[in-house]
Amino acid sequence: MHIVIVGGGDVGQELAKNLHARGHDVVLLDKDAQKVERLSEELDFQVIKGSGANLDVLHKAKIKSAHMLIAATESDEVNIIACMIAKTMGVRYTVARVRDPESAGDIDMDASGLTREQVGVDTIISPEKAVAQEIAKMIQFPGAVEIEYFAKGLAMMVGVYVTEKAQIAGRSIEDLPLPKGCIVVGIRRPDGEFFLPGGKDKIRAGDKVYLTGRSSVMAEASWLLHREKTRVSRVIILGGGMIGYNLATILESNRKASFITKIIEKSEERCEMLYRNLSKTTVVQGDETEISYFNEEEIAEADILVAVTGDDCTNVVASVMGQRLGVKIIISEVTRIMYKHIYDTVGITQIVNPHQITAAQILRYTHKEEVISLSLLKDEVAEAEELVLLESSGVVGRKIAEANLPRGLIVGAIVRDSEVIIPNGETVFQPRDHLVIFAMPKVCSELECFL
Amino acid sequence: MDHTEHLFLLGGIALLSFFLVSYLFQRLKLPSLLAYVFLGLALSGLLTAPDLRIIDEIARLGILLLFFLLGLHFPLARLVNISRRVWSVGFMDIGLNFGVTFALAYLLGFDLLAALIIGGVAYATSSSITVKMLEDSKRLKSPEGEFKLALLVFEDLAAPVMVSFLAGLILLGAVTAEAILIIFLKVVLLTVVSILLALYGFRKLDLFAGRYMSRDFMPLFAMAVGLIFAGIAEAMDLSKLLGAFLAGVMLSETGTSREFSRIIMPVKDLTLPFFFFWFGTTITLGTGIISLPALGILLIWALAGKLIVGFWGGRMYGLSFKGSIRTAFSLLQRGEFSVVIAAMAEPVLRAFLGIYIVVTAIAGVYLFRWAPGIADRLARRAGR
Repeated sequence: MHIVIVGGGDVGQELAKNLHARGHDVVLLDKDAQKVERLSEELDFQVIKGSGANLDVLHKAKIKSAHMLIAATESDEVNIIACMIAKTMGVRYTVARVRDPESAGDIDMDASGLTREQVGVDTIISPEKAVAQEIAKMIQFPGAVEIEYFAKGLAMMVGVYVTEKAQIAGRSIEDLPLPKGCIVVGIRRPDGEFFLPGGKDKIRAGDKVYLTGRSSVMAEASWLLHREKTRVSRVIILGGGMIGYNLATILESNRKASFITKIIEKSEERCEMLYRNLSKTTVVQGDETEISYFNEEEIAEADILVAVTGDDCTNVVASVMGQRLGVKIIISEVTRIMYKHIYDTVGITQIVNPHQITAAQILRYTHKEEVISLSLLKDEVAEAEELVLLESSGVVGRKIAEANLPRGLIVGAIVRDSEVIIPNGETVFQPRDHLVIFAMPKVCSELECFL
Repeated sequence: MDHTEHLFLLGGIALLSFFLVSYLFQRLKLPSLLAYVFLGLALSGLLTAPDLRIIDEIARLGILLLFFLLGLHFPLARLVNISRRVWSVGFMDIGLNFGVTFALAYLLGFDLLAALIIGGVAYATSSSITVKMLEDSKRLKSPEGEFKLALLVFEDLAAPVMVSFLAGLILLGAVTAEAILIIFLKVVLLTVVSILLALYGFRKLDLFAGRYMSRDFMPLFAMAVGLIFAGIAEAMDLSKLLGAFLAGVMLSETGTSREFSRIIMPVKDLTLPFFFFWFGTTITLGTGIISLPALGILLIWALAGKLIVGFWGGRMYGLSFKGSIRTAFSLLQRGEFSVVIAAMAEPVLRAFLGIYIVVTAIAGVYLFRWAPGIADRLARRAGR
């Protein structure tokens, strides 16, 4: 597939490398001459200097033969214009990263009154919204370090660390008293070894275990491995920017768990906006850079501290302070990924990087049509995918045991008519089944041979 | 001599004396609010009825503007947000401070009507003193500031119902369910009308307000909205403060509340001292047979009741431990609403209640100032 990527920033580079590695034909555009020179040396695909909103430059990138255009510059306007041009040039699929969703219709709805077709953008990715959604998942599922939903939330995958308390260490997977409706699909040992387990493999404390299955039983399953129920009710969000605001909106809409959410924001004008638009969240105006009187006592009583001020230094300071005050879960935004090591040093593991999340979100749209969603695991080489079985697929009508599935691939769950089925060897594939599979990368690239 | 003939001279002298006492108290590190109250208390004998009437008018404007400004900080969404969490605390407040005080007074030997009046006097924390103290101490933006304001607004909604309840009881000797229902309906009606006006009227004025904000006719517009709504509320026998507050809420929907507060602020600063001065003059410290033990018990409960509401209510509202303690120690002061209810009592009881109000007001102001220190100490002792 010929893919044009506009913008060679963190997001663009990440995407370009990843897509190139998957065998796509990638062209990267950036208007900064120095950056283009550097990238050309580093990367072995074409990097062109020029603006993505310029027709000539797009022609040079062979826009007419492109299947897809991804616009991921820092500028909303350039991204939207690039998509508009691409669409008129007949590019099938356009993706734009848009900071301020109002400028091109929201992700979920068209706030501006313009339809997607009129704007020429098929998919809008808002980094702030994506990050907020990611953090919300961490908050709503506090035991897990990795969470992914499939089939409209019916099925999910979680990554959980096995603790000493769990008393299942040393048992083999067959003997695990897991609730019905979920299975273990991957294990990572503390030494970094990662494999897709069979029934005889034993679980040890310190392992990171990946489970898939019905969403309703996952909390119980991860509790079994983790044995540390974190009661979460007080959430403090430091920074009322787009991420903080979106996160608060998501938490407000969660009716099952009632969070006491507070946002601490320093700008008075921003506070006014938050007062206007949030209905349950308490907004506190304070200076987040100073370890001031009120912030300290608020943070001290929080169950979760989310530092999303947009400034790495402030986030680090706040996270360390939260740690010292005994906050159970600290989630911090890292805008420059180089700072990740600093968090590792001070022992804060839950971090989110807007660029990586944006890239991951865009990646989901770059796969073949039968694949509905694709997600890369944080530390692992493996991928989790949701795909639909077509009528023409070779495995339809066959039992799993007889389908000749390759090593390095596990079918974690089958969603059939909004019913989640945990397959065994006897399960028969049917057309239009949604499969949640867990696979090693070499299998992923040849997936079409098997299914 | 008719003082009203020398209006400018007297007005100037009044402002000068406000300035002097306020400055003096500032230097002595005392709350300036008490300066005005004491001045009023000291001069109350010298003033004639017409003087008092003028002072009363200015005072009303001052307190009204205070609430108008307060309303500007509460766009509708924030108000809805707050009301969702504060109502249970509000009812606890009524139960503890009106209900329990009433029961205590009745047990102490006051008759039924007197006990009800005492309960009413004990109920509401003074909005004016609290808001002024919050402003002066820069704690309006603290996490618990919002909770205190929410509770005050709740009390201001409940207070008119209570006043008419008591007034009906005293005048007619009985209260009909209809009378209460009518008052209640009026409160609802006024609130609903203001919300609709805010949503469908003022929200559309944002361009207008933004464009002409610096022009000389904008203060007229802002004041007109404030006064008209306070007037309407008063004409409906509701609290004018509630009307002014709602006017502020409506204006804040234009999205230019900060500019509006800047316009109104100077007028408020000129007129508000008159209110506290007037408050001082209304307190009658007449002689009467005052039962000191009864006063003591009621005063202790005046503190304890608000402590419980502040701390427990604050925790229910979601405040931190320290924040709740600070709130608990910031609610003792009784004020204008209590004066209105105390005015309904017999002279002997009025003197008794006058002392009650003055003591809570003064002690309340000091406790308010010490609250952060107390909270720190308690938190350290509790090991949090």
